[in-house]
Amino acid sequence: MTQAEKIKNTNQAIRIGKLIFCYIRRELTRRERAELNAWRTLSPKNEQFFQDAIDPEKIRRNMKSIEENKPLLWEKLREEYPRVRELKPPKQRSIAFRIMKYAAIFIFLLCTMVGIITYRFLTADSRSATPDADQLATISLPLFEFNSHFMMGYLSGMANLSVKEGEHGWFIARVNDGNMWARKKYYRLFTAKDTRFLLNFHDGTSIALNGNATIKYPTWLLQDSIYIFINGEAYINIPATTKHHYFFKISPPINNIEPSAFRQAVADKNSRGIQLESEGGVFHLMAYASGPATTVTLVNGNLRIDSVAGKVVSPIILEPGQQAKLDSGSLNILQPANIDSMWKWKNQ
Amino acid sequence: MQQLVIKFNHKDTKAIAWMYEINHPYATALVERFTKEQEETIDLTQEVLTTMLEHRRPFQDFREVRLFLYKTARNICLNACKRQQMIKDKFSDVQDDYLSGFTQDYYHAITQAELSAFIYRSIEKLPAKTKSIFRLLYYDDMTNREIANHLGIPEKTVANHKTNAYRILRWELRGIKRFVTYLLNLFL
Repeated sequence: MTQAEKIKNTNQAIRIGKLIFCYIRRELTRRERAELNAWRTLSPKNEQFFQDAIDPEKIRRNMKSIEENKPLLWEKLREEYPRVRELKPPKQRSIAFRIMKYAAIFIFLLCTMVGIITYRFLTADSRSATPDADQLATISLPLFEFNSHFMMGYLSGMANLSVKEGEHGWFIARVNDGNMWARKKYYRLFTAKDTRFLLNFHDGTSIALNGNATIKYPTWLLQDSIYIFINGEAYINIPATTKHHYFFKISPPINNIEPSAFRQAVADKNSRGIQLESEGGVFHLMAYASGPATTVTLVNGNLRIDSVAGKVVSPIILEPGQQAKLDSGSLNILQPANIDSMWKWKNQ
Repeated sequence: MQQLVIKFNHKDTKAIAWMYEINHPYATALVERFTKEQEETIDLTQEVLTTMLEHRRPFQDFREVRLFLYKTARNICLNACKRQQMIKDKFSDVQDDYLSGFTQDYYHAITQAELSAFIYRSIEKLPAKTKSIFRLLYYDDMTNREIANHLGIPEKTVANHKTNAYRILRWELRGIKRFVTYLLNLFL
């Protein structure tokens, strides 16, 4: 018998030992069972050996023999190797310890995730976002965009919004007064193509955004003047009882959530931007960056136009039913008929 | 396991103890197959293990250690047969062709050693309390009541540990491994 054959036979003997063990414990796959059966039919001696090997009494005898011989062997070993010490049995961990171990792993992963989200939120201004981005918030993580429920929870946690999903593609959110995490920042939210977003402020002000719109509003709302930047179509309702002055800037969104007068001025100059001020009123805005013109239609209440295309103008006060239309740099005041059809989308 | 072999090659005392712990069931089961008396088994097994521990050439991996162990056990058993010339009396079922080298008996002995080591290890893996009760049951043939009196615990607890031990020994591969086995059975 060659050396290679000897090794092959030894390996097969080792393999058969494992298969018989699996057979005893009913863990054989079909292929393994076929392999074992083939070995058994190879010779009557193999079959006899197999029957002996699975005999419970013989197994017990073998185990007992190993168990009994172990201390005697150990004693003899110690005589020759006095430096070798007996191994301590491994500590049995309690169930509480195991639960704590998994809890620690879970907490670690959770902390890591929260850390990443917080970091991305605090550094959100360094990342650009396009107005046609199909997402609800510029501070979103791309990883979770597929899940609107997660996004709602995410907005609740990080943008301090309580978002609910309404019918016909509406998202209804209640804006809280302030967020200690980002006191001097602006939130910028986007609506997707067929998504409409209703923001309810603490003083009763509500802003309904149609699809593909952008709104930027301050995180801290406990102040006299509140500047809101809008691009897209919106229907705004400011109650007369409000204590705030609302300034609306219709301008393309700039890629920065930090308030910066210079950047805003540059953006205004290159756009059809209008600055509006209202202390209570209902009006409709149509100001898509890619649209033909910017229009502001007052439904009721008061509305004042302070600047047009980045230039300060003498204040223009709109009357209910009037529409200010900025097209090719010139502002015209119109009195359109059937204005209700403009915001049909709001009631769908 | 590889680290253990490396440490064993450097004759680390802890590694030697581990090697003894891992390999003694293989050596005992293999030698026992060719001997009748316990004393003879212990002497020869001790010789096998000592030869392994004193081996100078470094081992590559654990498999090589085991192959060396089997080879050594065979040689030591053969030498014992020849030396004492008591084949018919002290050594059971050893045929003449066995003395000439590798035979079916030798491979059966290896298979038996592997099987015994697997079973022994699975018993050793039992939880400490369950293992101590299982030993009394399995090796010392004690009844539940005797064990309960011996350890000062309720008989019901002994019965629970016994059930648990048998359950673990029969169904050690649980969860995903058992599921994989089930899937393999379905598709292969």
